[in-house]
Amino acid sequence: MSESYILLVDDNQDDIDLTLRAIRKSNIDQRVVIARDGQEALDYLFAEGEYAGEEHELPSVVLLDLNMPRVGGLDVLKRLRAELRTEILPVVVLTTSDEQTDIVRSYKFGANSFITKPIDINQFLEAIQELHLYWTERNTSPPAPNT
Amino acid sequence: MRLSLKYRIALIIFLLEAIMMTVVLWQTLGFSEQNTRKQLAANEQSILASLSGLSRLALLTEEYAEFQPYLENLLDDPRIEQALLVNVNNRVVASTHPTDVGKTPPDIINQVTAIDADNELYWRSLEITNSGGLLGTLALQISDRALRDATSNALNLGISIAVIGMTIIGVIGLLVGIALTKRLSCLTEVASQYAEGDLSLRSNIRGHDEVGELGRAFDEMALALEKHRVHLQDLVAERTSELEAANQELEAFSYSVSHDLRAPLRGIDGFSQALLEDNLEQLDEQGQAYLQRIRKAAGHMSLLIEDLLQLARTTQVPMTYRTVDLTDMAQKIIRELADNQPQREVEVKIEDGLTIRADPTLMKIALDNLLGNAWKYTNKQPRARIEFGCCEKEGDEAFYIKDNGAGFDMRHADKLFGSFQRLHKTSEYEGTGIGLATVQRIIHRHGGRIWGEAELNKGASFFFTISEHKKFRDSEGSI
Repeated sequence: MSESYILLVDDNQDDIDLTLRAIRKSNIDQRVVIARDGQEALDYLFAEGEYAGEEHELPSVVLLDLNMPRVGGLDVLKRLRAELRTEILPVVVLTTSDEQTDIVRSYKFGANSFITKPIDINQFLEAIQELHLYWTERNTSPPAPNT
Repeated sequence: MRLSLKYRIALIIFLLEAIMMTVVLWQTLGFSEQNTRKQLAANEQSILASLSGLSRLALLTEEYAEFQPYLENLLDDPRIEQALLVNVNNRVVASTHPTDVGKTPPDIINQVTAIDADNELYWRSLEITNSGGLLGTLALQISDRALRDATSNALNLGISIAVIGMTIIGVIGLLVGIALTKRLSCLTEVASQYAEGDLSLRSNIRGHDEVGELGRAFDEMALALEKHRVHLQDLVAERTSELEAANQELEAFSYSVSHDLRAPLRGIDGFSQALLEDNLEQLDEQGQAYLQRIRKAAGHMSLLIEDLLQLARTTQVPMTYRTVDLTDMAQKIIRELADNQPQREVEVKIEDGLTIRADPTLMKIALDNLLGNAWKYTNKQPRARIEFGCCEKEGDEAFYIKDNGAGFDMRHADKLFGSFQRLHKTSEYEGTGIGLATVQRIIHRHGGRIWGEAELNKGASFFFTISEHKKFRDSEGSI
């Protein structure tokens, strides 16, 4: 279970498929775990709810959407930063919004990066490639905490 | 000279009283003196007449010793100073002053003779005759001092009464003035409280006179004003909350546009591209062209969403005034435009030192749109020219962006700044028709005006003013 992976948190199936396609097209050799809303993401990371008893290693980066049912992206961020295990986990907010308030709040709650999903699919592809390059290749992730 | 109303009233009453008193005194004293004089003259004549018989006897008999006591009796009258009898030879034969006997009498013709100023003395005489002719003259020397004293006493008394009377009247006048103006000053005080915004006070001035009426009308007015103000405050609060609600709705709307409208577009664009890439062999040329058009339409819609969002935000964001170097801003925008279309050759002239106080973010959006338009609409012009500067327009300093591009027909100038209004076909010049609407909102938020002047195919000029801007002209020049 030492294989690094990306946790993609998004409720929009189209966006999920396009992101996966972009990853595939970019020949990125990374496992992608998908959570369809904030609650599922938290359950997955903290082995709660439907993932109770399933301990998972932390992903190398979390790609987090903001507007989602049940638990939104900002609440996920708050919970992640409040827990010792995930307080330094790299989180990239990847959302359609480019509202100032969303950007400011995301950083305030501890996001490491904020990326607006471009509508143009080619730009979207570029963004995913750059994201991968930076967060899983270039960037040194924090050491896994002893749990 | 400013004189308070109460003093004016007191002064007028006092002066009227003084004039009246003077006239009355003058009339009364003058009249009584004249009367007294007439009476006294008659009295003197009757005294002389009463002694005429005895005088005649004395002159005929030349026995003056018996006549002497009658003369001396006359001195009981305080006005009579001296009495004497003169014979036909003009010699004093009897007198109340015995030393005068035998002397020539003073000129005793019947006339007033002022001997000295204090004792106004005059003589009154009666010729004593019998059938044979003139026997002599009986004369009285009369002093006017007593009458003068009486008159002067009466005058003094009159003046004293007048002074006391006028003082009392003056005080009463002052009191009346104070009573009248006290209510007026009360009104003034209350009115100035109103001016400071406190409408709760009432003058409470009542009465059946004009001031009372004024007080009542005043209080009624204040009540009406207060009601009106409360109504206005309610109205403002209501409108404010309505506006706040509308603003929140707009904010929620633009958020939802930003988030929810974009996502499906990305799907449309993304899966069209996916079809083109992954299923190319199953598509004929027409199918591919259709997919390209779907992508293009999605791109245009994406632009529309961006522009709409920007338009909504220009009215929402709070403004922060900073010093903005428009020259520098315009140069950067032009550089960016030129980088995106390096094949174009455009002659650009930007005035130096154009600095204003404005919101930098909003001004950037405005200049982006105006210069972007100039850039766009000159693209069919082989010798394209764009100018940015400042000039005098109708007494105001106006900034202008001038180009020699497509221009527009001035008959449609009223549509220039409307949202989604376009004066050119999309096939000729791309655009959403929101840019100038956004610019106008930004200029209006800065308290300025914007207008365009153009001629079809000869270029367009856009002018805008920024109110109360501080413009510094460092140096003149162009790049």
